[in-house]
Formats: sequence, C-alpha cells, structure tokens
Amino acid sequence: MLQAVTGVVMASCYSPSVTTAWASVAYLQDQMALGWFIRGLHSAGASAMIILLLLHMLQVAVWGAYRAPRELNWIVGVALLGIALGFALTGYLLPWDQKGYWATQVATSLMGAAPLLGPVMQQLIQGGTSYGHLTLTRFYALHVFVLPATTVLLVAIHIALFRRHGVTPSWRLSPDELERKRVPFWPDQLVLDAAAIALIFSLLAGSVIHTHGAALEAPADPTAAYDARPEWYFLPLFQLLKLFPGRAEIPAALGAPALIFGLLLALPFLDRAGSRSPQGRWRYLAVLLVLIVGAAALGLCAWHADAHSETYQKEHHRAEAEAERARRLALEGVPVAGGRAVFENDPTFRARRLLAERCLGCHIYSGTGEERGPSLDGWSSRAYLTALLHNPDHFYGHTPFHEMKPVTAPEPQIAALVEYVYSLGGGSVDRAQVAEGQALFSSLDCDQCHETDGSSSGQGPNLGDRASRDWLRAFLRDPSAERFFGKKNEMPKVGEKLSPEELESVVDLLLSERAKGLF
Amino acid sequence: MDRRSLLKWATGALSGLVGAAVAGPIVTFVGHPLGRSQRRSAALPVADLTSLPEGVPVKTAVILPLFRDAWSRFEKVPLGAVWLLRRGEQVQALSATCPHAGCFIDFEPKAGHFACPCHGSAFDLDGHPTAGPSPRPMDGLAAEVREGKVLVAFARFRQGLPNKEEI
Repeated sequence: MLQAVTGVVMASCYSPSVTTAWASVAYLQDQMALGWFIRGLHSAGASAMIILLLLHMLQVAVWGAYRAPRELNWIVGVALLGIALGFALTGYLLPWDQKGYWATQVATSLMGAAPLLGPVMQQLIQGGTSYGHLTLTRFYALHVFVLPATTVLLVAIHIALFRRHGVTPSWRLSPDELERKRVPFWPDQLVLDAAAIALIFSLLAGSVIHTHGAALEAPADPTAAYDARPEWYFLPLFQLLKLFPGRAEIPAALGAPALIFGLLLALPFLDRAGSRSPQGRWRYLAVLLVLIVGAAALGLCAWHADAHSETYQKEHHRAEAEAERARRLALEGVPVAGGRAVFENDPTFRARRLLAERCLGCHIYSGTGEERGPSLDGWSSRAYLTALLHNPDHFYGHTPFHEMKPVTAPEPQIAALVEYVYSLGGGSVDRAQVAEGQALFSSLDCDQCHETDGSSSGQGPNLGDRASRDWLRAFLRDPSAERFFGKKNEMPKVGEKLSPEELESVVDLLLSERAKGLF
Repeated sequence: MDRRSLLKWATGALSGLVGAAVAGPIVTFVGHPLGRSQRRSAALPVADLTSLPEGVPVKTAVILPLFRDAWSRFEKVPLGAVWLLRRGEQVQALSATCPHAGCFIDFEPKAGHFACPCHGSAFDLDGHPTAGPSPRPMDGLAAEVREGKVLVAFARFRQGLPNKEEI
C-alpha cells in the first residue's frame, strides 16, 4: 500500500525520458516540499517489502504450509517474490543516475547473454540495442502498470486461496486445542496487524529521516567510469559473478537464480514427508537454510570487500562529491539537453566555453588550443611562474616577448623570486621568501625590464599587481595598455567583447587556475 | 470498556496514526505548486520601433531569454503574443489573449478591428469591445520605447471577469 501511494504521488512529478528523468527526480528530491521523504519512504519501503517477503516465506516453510493442499498458493507466493525483485530492478533505473544506469546495465547485459531468447529479450526490454528514451519508458511502464497489475492479481489469488484453505495451524496442536484457540480476525488479529504496520512504518520513517531519504547520484553518463553496486538484495548475486570468472560467469549468474526459484517452486512436490513437523522435514529445511546462509555470506563478502577496498571507497567518495555538485547545480534548473547538461550551469563550465571560443585560438588549455601564446593551465600559479623563469620561450617563444632570457639561479633563489612575483598579485605568501625575492629581483636585474609600480612601462610588462582580479580585468579589456604589453602587444582586446558577467567568469576561471597551481 | 472494544479502538487509533503520518507529507507534496507565486517578467525587447508601421497592429512574440519550468531551464522561451500599435513615438501593447475565455485574438485588416474567433468578441484598435461576450477591453500591457527598441512587460490576467486581475 505504502509503495503504491508514494509511487503514485511521485509519478505526479516524474518524467521518464533520458533528458528529463534525472532532472525531475532531482527536482522532486531537492525542491518539492517533503519530496525527499516520500521518495525515501518508497525506497526504504522496497527494502522492507523484500525482507518481510523473505521472512513470510521462511515462516511458511518452517510451518510446512506449502504442502498439500496449499502447493498452488506457495507457487503464487514464489511468483510474488519474483515480481518484487522485478519492481526493484525496474525502479532502480528510473532516476537515470549513475548508480541505477550502471547497475541496470549489468542486469540487462546478463539477460542478453542468456542462451536462445536472451538477446531478443534484452532488445525488447531495452527498447533497442542500447539504452535510450525507450528503455526508460519501458521500465516505467513495467514498474507502474504491468508489475502492479500482476501483483494485484496474484495477491488476490493468494488471499482467495488462503481463505479457502485457511490458516495453517501449528504442527504441535491437536484439532481440539485448535478449536479452543480460535479467535476472530476482527478485531483480535487486526489489532496485531495494525500494531505491526505501525511499528514497521515508524522504523521506515525513522530511517528515512535519519538518512535524509534515498541517494540520488550524478546523472547517468555512459562515458564516465563508475563502480556500480546493486541494491543490497542483489549483492549475493553480484558477489557470485566475481567468483565465477570467464565462461562460467553467465551460467552462474543466470543458473543460480534459476536454480533457487526452481527449488522453491518444486519444494511442495519434493517434500513428501509424513508429517508437517519440522523434525520430519529437516532435509528440505536444511537446503533452505544453506541457501539463506550462502546468500547472506555472499552479500556480506561483497559488502566487506567494498568496505575495505581503498579504490572503491575513493571512487565512492568521488561519486558522492559529483552527485552533490550536480544536485546543487540542478537547483538553477537543468538545461534542455538534460542529464549531464546540468554541469553547464557551473560558472567554470561557461567560462571554459568562453575560453574555447575566444582564447584557444592562441592559447592551450586542458589539452586543446594553439601554442601561439602561453598555456593557460595553472596560469600564474607558483609552478607556472617557476617554469616561466626556467624557460620563458616555452611560454612567450612565439610572441614579441621571446627576448626574455631564462633566469639562471639556484632553486631556492628561483623559489624566492617566484614567491615575490606571486605576491604582487595577492594571496597568502611566505613573507620571508617574498623579502628575499624582492632583493633578488633587483640583484638579478629583473627590474631592468620589468617595473613593479603597476603603472609605468618598460622593456617587458609591468609586474605590479600582476594576476590580481583587477589586473586581470584591465588586462583582458586592453592588453595593449602601456603597463601590460604596450606597443609589442599582439593579443586582441578579448575583454571588450565579453559581457561583464562573462568577463568575470573568465577572470574567475583564470584565478582558480592560479590558485590550483596544477601544471 | 470491554476487551473487544479496546482492541477495536486500538486498531482504529493505530491505523489513523499511520494514515496521518503518510497523508500529511503527501498533501504537502501535492500542494507544493500552491505556494508558488508567478514571477513578474521584466520589460522585454520585442521589436524595433522603426519596423512598426504607423497605425496598423503588428503581432509579435514576447520571448523570455531564460525560463525555468520546474526542473528544466529553457533559453528563449515564447511567453505569449502581443499586438503592437505604433502611434508616432508611442507604442500601445495589447495582450493577444481574449479576456473572455482565453482564445487567441486576431486582427482583421479588412474590418480594421480585432476579433476573437471562438465566441465572436470584437475590439476596436484601442482594445475596447464592440461586439460579443467579452466582459472587458483587451488587456493592455506596459510598453515603452528605449533607444529605438520597443519593450513590453508581459503579464497574464484572469479571464471572464469585468475587471483586469493579474495572475
């Protein structure tokens, strides 16, 4: 019931397409009133449903309630477990985030690797040979129409059969004792049911509030590496794949679930023991126990391996940071292209695009562009300045400033000089080094060509205030000013062609390069 | 109270509690759009003054450079259409949405008046109703001319009322 209600409510804010699925779920999660709570209930409710189903099956098995005349009801129950897992599998993909996308890829790939009908089934369910709009609409249709309708039908049969055959009594009681213990459903049994529902709901709500709802990762990206993990109830299967490498993998991945479901379905027909007492049926219960313990062990192994894998943890944290960034940017609305386009909201993304349009005809940045002017990677960071002093031609070799000679001095002196030049543009610096660098600036004759007062001209650019925010703004607007490149300037007045916001975003990007210092 | 009534009462109370705990968030969630108010659009450039002929209505679209619709962020979204009428250096802007029931008002050059195709309302060039069921004149929008550009502040109004009431 809870799944149905929260599901219907969420469907009022979900848009199943590659371009809108993630955006609509991010909106539901982060901007709709209590959206996170409702989505969290739906997700935690799914887990609770699987747990309760397994417990119920276990109880039925121990009581021997699957035996004649209730074989059919047991089979319907096993089918319902399959349906529940189907819900989980289809629902996982719907947010179209990294986690759902990659985990579901694994599931559909395995399906495609199955013999005979595998590839056809995969293509049918995916709505094509690869993931796209049709994958989402088909998964959505399965998740909200086909599976719920099947569930209603099977539950109706389940309850009808249950009413026909009645409750399976405990094997210990005689018919007389049973008659004495008989209680009416309303209100005696119902109050217990209500209490159980209230308890489970409190636990669910508590856990949702504690975790602030279900995770939503960054939008699906077929080009980005992602260490996919399925939901906990599929972890045993996931671990099984790791244990069966190579050609054994597909038979194991498909064979294990087939075997388990086959066993469960066949159980009523295998178990021909005389009484329903568990002692008489220990063989069958032992098989079930082995299955449960085996699955739990596999799941724990998978969890343990991840918890202790540094690579996985690192990847996990990276994914979390990316998700956080994507969701923050999505608050401004996701561009029409959807999904990954959310990153276009990032000011640095816009600045990068501007840089590509306006600057990379002469400069190199992140591996693209032309080498006419200096590279912009790590622009004016300490590492950049150090390299510049060692080899000015690497930066200005193709410009009229190729006259500057490399500075030959011991490394500590270069470092002090760099610290001094860096300090001119502001930022936290090492005062002692700056003082040393300032002395070197004149003793090494740097001041022969470079002024540092920020206004006058010289052989080379004036270094006063260099690489500060104001300096950058003024420089980009007019690099040919006397204090910058003066008459030797060949750089266009880029800043004049940008709007104030655009100029600011480019300045921000260059300043972040300066602060990063990656080079 | 006997045991049976107590059990009944407890069942009702427990169900009610869980029901309320689910219904509360759901009502809040579904009611989310009610708390949102329409953001007024700023005056947007719709045409060059020189492109408008004197005394003849011209239809133009009002295009918002950036528009947010729930989770999406659109660029250059048409908000709606306006009829511009140049009178010298002044421009009159009338919403093309009929104040009667929201149909699109067209201009009939032969008759020289505005007409709504749905229910037959007609309006003169100033937007005053001359025929049909419209309860009020066509909705005027704030328009100004700045540096040769015509700017219009687009707005929507509730239909079917004798007074102009902005949504």
